[in-house]
Amino acid sequence: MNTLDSRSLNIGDCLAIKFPAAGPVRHLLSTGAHAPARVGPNEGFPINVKAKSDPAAPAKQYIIVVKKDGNQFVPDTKDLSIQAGDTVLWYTTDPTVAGFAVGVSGKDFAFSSHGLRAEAIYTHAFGTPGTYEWADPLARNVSGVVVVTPVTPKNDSERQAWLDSLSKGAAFEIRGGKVTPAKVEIVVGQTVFWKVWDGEGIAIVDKRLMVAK
Amino acid sequence: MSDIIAAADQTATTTLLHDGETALGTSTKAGGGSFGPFGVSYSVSATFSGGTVNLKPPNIIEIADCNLHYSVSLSFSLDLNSFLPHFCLPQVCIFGICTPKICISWPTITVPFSFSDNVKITADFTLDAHLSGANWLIDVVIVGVPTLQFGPATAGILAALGAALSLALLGIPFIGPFLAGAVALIVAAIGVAGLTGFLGTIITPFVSGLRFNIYKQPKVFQVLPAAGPVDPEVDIQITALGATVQVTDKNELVIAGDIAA
Repeated sequence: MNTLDSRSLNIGDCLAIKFPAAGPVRHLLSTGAHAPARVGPNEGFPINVKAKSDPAAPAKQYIIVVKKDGNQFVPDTKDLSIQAGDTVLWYTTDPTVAGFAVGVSGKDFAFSSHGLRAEAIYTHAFGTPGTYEWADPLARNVSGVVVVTPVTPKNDSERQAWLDSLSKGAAFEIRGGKVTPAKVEIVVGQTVFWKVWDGEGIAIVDKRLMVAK
Repeated sequence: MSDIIAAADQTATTTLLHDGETALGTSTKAGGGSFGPFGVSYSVSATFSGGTVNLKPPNIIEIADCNLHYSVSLSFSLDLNSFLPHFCLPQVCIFGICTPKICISWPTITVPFSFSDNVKITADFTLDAHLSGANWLIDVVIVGVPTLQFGPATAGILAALGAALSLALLGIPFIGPFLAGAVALIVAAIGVAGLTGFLGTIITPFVSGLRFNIYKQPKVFQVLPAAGPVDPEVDIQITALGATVQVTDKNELVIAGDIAA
């Protein structure tokens, strides 16, 4: 699976959120079709967001690897402690972890892969050439196009050049209900970032996955 | 001296053979085996047609250039990790956030593949006259197992396999830049030897013990119908039937039988 859908994450996708304020939150991993709007106090796993101890210290990035335990998706780190301003990124290395969703809830904070909010980032590595029109299912004006061109290396050096190019990505920024740029062009295998600067309840979905209205 | 004698020259015997091929119809087999380094499940059907008869005294019928037309449907699974290089998406950093290095595990895929072709058979057959139920049958039965020559067909079949593989692999994410190399490696792993061995294994059973029925005669048959209540029909019973290749002015298939009223 290599579908462009922030609501249903697969290998090659990442979801990240910056935690703006201190306070306990819980995060729950579920299948994309069953992402809860809020995570209950006895659900999921804790993330303890502490107040920043050194205001001058740079923010950190923490990574949670999503794994499969029986029929459930679980984080590799069961009890995470971070500081306000840090970012947590979820992803999987397991191809059988197909279509997971992330929900995060705290006293004054809620975020999910179904509803991206300010300071959220979704990334998707495109494995197949083509033109991908995407949109937010609830706000069709939040939309864009990704053009993925094929690569057919003729020798090892061309293949290495392609592999080197994969560390360069492209990005969309969503700010004030608008998307910039409208279109990005990449080669197959490259990663596109979606950065949400403001707003909430945003999803990034391939238009072909949306039911026509 | 036999009571009934019939003879057929090579042309007539060839016609009998072709009728026998038609009567045999389509034979099918299914099973599993080796397809180069891969396990494979398959079904195969075969028909025979054509060929010319060369009568060789005393008891050999050589059939030359008989067409064995076969159709094969097979399905084999392959773990692409055995053929594709280890591949990882590198770390990408934008907006101060870095994605982790993500390594892609290639899937195991099942490739369906169908093809059909002809192989010509030239082999010696012996005559076998025998009673089967209410009928006398004369069959020709292959002697030994001929070596089937698949050589000319294999290159075309391998090329078609490469095309089918490309199609099967095309939809796998991230495989594009590795596709041509993967197909070449997989086709090479099967190779002419693997394909020829596979064909030999699945086609030879159709030839081994191959038997065509070229003549069928009811054991009891009517020679005169009933002409009235006191004049019943007259039947003849064939009590013995034999077939040989004899030299007269030309070689002939001679069928001789004894009868009893």
